[in-house]
Amino acid sequence: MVDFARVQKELQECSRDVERSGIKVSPKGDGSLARLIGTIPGPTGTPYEGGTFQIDIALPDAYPFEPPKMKFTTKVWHPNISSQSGAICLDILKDQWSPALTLKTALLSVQALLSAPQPDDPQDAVVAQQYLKDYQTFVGTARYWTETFAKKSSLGIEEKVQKLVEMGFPEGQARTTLEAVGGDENLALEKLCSG
Amino acid sequence: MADSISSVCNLAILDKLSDGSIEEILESYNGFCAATDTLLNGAGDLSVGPQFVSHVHGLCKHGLESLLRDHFLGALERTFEKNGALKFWRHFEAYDDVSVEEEVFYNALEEISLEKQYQEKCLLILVHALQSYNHGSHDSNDYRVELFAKYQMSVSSVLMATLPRHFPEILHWYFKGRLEELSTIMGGDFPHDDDDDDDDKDDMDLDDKCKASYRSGQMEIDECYPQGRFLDNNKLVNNIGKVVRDLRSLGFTSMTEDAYASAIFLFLKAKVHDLAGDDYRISVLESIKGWIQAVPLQFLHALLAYLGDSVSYDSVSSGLKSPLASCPSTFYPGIDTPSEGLVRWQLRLEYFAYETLQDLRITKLFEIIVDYPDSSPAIEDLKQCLEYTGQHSKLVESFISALRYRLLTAGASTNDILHQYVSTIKALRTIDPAGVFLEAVGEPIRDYLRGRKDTIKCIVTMLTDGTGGNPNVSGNTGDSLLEELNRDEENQENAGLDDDFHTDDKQAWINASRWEPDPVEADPLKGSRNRRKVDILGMIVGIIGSKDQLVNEYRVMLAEKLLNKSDYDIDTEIRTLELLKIHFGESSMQKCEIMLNDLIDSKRTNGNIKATITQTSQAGSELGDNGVSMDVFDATIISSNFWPQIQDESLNVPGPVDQLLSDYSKRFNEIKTPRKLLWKKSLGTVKLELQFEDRAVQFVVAPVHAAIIMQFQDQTSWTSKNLAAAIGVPTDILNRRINFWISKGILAESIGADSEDHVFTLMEGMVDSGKNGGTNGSIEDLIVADEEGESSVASVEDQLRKEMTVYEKFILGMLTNFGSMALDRIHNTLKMFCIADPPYDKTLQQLQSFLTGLVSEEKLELRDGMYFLKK
Amino acid sequence: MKVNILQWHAVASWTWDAQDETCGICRMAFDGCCPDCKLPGDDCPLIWGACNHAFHLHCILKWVNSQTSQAHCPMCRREWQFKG
Repeated sequence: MVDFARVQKELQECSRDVERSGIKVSPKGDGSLARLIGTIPGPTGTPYEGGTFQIDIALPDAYPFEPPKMKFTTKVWHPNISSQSGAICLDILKDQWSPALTLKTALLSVQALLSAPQPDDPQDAVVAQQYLKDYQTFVGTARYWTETFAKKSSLGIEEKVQKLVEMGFPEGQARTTLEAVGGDENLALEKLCSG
Repeated sequence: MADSISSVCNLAILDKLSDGSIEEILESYNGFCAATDTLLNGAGDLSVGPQFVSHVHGLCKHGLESLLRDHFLGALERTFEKNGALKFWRHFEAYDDVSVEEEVFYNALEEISLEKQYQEKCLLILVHALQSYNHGSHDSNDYRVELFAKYQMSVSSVLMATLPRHFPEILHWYFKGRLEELSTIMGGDFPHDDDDDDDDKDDMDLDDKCKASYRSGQMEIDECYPQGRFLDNNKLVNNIGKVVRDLRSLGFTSMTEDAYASAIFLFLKAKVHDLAGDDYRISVLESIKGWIQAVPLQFLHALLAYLGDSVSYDSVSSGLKSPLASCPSTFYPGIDTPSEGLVRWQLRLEYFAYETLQDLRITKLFEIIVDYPDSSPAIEDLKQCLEYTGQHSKLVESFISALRYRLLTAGASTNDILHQYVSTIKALRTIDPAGVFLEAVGEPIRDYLRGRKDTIKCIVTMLTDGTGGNPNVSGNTGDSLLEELNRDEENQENAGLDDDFHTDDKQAWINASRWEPDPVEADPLKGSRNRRKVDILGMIVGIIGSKDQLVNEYRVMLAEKLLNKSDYDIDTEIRTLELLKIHFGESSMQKCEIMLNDLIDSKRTNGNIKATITQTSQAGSELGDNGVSMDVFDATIISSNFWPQIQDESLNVPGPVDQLLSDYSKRFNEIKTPRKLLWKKSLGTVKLELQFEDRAVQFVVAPVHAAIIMQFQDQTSWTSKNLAAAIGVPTDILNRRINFWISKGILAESIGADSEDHVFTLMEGMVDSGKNGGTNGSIEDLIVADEEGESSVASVEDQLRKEMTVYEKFILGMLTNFGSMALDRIHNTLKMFCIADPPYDKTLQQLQSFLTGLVSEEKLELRDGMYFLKK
Repeated sequence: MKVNILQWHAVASWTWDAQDETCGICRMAFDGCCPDCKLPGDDCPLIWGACNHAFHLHCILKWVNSQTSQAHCPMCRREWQFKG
């Protein structure tokens, strides 16, 4: 049985400093806390900068005594992340898991992984090869993937614009604001509201 | 006029007549007219009869039968008008009002009836004369029927044409009087509370009646009312029966019936009012039904029986039928099969009685509910009436308007409203087990209560306080909600239901099997078909909106109560908690349970610590003077995570006490390592005794009061600044708290050199006994320091305010953008967008009260239901 | 005037004498209790490891029992040893 009290606490803690960390975890929306969606911003100074990456999180029954299962749903070009399945190769999500870790710390580790690829222990051999042999091409591809898959347009932006328009904001303003915050509707609303 | 008509009619006959015949006819006609006059005005002298008959025969010979019949009827009519009608009405002329004496009434009726009987005899002579002439060529009955019908018609029309306007009322009055008499007779075995005077008077009248009996001779007067039972051949009824019969024979059939029917209904109405009165503690429905059986139905039975039950309005002569012919000898209700007419009367009377009682009770429903449960017999009556009449909507409308007018006003305390609400639920639940009308009636109360700030607090008090929270009624167990919870608990145990109320399958099954359609009066949009059983607690929680709010408020109140205990006695609280757990679920009450458990643990730990402690030598040596022994020291140790926020103020407790605190916590740390204690020095209670030269006074106070007064042992005068510094509290708090001692006359306040700095002086030996209830220092003289607004636990409102502050920025931002928003829209927007920061989980009511707070802080404005930013 | 204290009933709260406020495993306050307990304090004690990290006893036991090999301290990854 998942310790939902802890999950709930984690969600609250996480949302408390979402502005600072940019890391967000929210329920997938099927009424259960066992399926979550994590969001991390691409680290600055990396080819992932400016992108927003979504990570599918499934909590095993024994959580937090077993690690959460995480994989990217946003396509990403990275030696330790499968360009096909989004599977992540990260020790703390495997044998190095500790119950003292949280979803947020795990996502922070994933974010750190984006900053510091480990081509020696690859998940995606093709990417790892490119990283080691042709770093410039790797950076270009990674950046291109970020532009293509991890920017706001890929996240159902129209729906969000519509939602804000329904609340009474002018469409143009809603759109620019959404873009400015990387497509996060809550952040957009906050920004719109604080004028 | 009759002459001219007959001449015209008989012109053809006249042509054929010879002179001799004419002569004969004239002679016969003149003779006939004279004989008719003599006969009709002869005052009973029938000697002219044979002469009359021969004239009739003479005229008939000439075919003038119709002429003479018309003439005779015309003469009868004129004579009746003169001798009957005018005389009859003259009897009543003397009476301006309708209260005609019975005697006069009887006399008038007798006189006119005699006249009519006489005229009928005369008419009979004519009939015989015609019959004897025709020798049966006519069916003898044809004459009879035809002539008597015409005669009856002319009698009626004469009377109707001359009818004084107040005659129907006179009839009504007459029947009313007789019914009252009957009622008095039946009074023997029927409970009623007329004045003795009335009884005497009635009895006397009745005696008179018996003596001056009208057309006497049928009954033994002595046997008027054997055993109070009203026999159908009683003389009084016979008299009434004769009156009715006579009136009918005069053509007043429907007027008479109207008169006695309205008299009966009015009398019944008066009786219902009389029996029902303003006493709601007894059921009156059975008495009323009994009375209907005993008086009006007996009366009607006897009357109908007397009249032969089957009413023949055209009955030629009342004299032809024996009045007793068709009567059963006795009438016992329920044994004889009552006639159809009587059954109809019974139904009419009972319906009328039900409706009258129902209307009476509905107009007083508010009072009845105030008296509930003492008034439950009245409620039971009302229930039966409504089942009969089906006029529930009348109740709903009337009661709601009574509520608005009398209860839901600024003048009524929240407690009173709540109590009336609970009583309403309990009372109406009898009438309306499905709770449909209750829904409609409860709505305005709930709406109103939601607008009151102290509603939750009052509800919690009412729920958990044995007296039901009603300050006016002490120890009225019927009003205790705890009792209600108890009973529900037992019911639930009996039913073997899980403690998860409402929703489990078993309950659903029970609900389904109990299903019945909502009564038509129910508004289909309101009221749930699913909740078939009226659940008092549910309806109370419904006022607040959610049980969480109620539980929260209870927790705050419980904390307050527990922190002010000087012993560890929590039996009542445990009992209450167990009940609340049944209704709100174990998990909702988890924190409260831990709080109570803390007290149980504290008691054990406290005993343990005190038994094993080794007091430091310093404390021991000081004991003689200022010291405080560990023996008089106790502590409550709380698991603060599970308690409401506790407002702990800084305080320097007196040195010896401080020493005890540190000894105690040291020992705790030894026993419970690695746990330690954090003292909340301003909390708790202190029982102390002020020992003056001449007396000693005891008080139970808060630690801060103890700390203050103890400073005056060595120094009898302090400035507020110095004192505040000495006990380690801010000056403003000191100034507030010290009022307790000033109000008790122990300290006096004066303005010192510095106007900002007050000086407090001990009033050694001159305590104003007026201020202090008892200065004799008796042990019982305990005065608990009870300061308003000095709560050590943060109120639910404060907590809510704190939780809601997170959303303030959001709300202000929204309003900046939109200009204005209604409550609902703000609520929905927050719900939509604040899903994790922390998730917005407040109710509409909570949001409203938060917004109200913002309005009072002048951050927002509320106009026409819309919130604006305050410019 | 002299003040005689007849009874002084004080109020205190207890707390675990630990560095941290919350259990690193269940994230509940130490002064609260682990997810499986209803009552705090004696019923849901804390336990310290040799590394000086504290957890709810029930939480660390679950962790230790869930590990097939030697369990490590969830906080510092040192081998978990109960503090003697």
